Amino acid sequence: MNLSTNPGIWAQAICILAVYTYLYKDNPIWRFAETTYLGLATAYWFVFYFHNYIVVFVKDNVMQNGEWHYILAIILGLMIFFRYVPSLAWLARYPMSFWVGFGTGYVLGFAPAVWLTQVRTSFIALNSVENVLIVIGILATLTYFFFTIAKENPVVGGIAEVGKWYIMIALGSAFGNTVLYRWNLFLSRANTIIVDWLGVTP
Amino acid sequence: MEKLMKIDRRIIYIIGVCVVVFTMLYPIGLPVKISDLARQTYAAVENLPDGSLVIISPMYDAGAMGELHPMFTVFFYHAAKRGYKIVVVNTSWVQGPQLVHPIAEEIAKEFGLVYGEDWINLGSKPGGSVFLQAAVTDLWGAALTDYTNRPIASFPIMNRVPKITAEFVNACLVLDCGTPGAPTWLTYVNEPENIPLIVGEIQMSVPENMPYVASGQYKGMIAGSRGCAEYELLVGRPGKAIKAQDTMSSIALLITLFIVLGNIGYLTTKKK
Repeated sequence: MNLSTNPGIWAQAICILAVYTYLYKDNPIWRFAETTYLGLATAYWFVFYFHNYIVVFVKDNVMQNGEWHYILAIILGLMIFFRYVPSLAWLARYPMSFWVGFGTGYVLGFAPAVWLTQVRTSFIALNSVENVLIVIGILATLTYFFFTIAKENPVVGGIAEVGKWYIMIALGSAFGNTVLYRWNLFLSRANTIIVDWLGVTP
Repeated sequence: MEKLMKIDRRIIYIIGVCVVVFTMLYPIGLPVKISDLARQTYAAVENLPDGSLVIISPMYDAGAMGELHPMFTVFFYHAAKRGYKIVVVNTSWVQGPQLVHPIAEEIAKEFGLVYGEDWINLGSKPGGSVFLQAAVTDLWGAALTDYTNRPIASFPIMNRVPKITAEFVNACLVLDCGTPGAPTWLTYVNEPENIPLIVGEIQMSVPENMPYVASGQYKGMIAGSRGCAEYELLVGRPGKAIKAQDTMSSIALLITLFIVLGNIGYLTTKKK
């Protein structure tokens, strides 16, 4: 055992242990770690965006290159803060509505190509058991989500039931992967505690 | 049997912790068989033309680095080994490029790569899909500076890549743990510009991303920690992912055991 002398590693180890105390129960140590993290993360994001984007754009694009139209975007963005002034709060809806409208049009312009490729590649030759199972899965799962057709119909209901099983298997797979992922995260933190901090060599 | 339904979750945590620590300190050395998907992913990177330029995008923060750091390491190592020019850049995930920089520097040193000529870290750029779309038409204008806030025009490697199109970029290697992530790259860059996309996914996101591999929209995918271990073997640089496999296999076994016990308890009490 060779305890680390690096203050950064000590800070990491103490924060990791503080956060994991939550697994026992909610406690002040955990809350201290949580609020410290949130405060640090918020400050980090603010400083990062301010220095790496806002300052750069204002200094280079607006002041040096004379691209004054960026000021309109800045004004629009700042209007979001009107929500803190009750009498003018309605003005905060303009940047939001602009953003939602822009986002909707933007996504509709690009996303269908990706989806259509997915749809196209689901039309596969029924020349193997795997392919047959895939096609049955697609049709049955889609049937499950046809809420406009009464599931009391035995044929539709039966197909939807098969779809439900496919969904359950997919969710089970996702759950298993999620559990393993979480343990992998723990493994990485355990490595920080045992190897980096305590200096125990496997 | 009712006791099986009422096991204190903290007991399960303690058993899990014991398994992790024990297998970490005393590795068993379970064999790792290389899957077809890992071979496909390796081939997708390996078979790019000599002198290619690749973008490696660490679309993650500290929360996912346990699984994605080893993937960044193998991707960067493989690209460096093949002699590709490498541009590291991401969007929205502020910490990603900062976290991977020491890894990139270490590998670059190993291969004698020069910063600004053979590889560059452009850092994290705000904007998500908006940044990606802007980078397709003008990467210089969208990125402005490198990781250290120096203008990107001052780096020779950037002369090779004024924008992210198939003319200048041979492949994008995206490490993904959420949104925006690999599907965002696919939608706004790779699909419209017809640039090969190869991804590294956290274990949790593997099922939802498999359809993209099946459709050929992803040319390859490192599927979680296990996939990364296989890739490490293929690239000839065993690292953290290989070391993690004993623990992950033991934990998978333990969780399976708990699920079986829980179901036995559930079914038995249900009958009563």
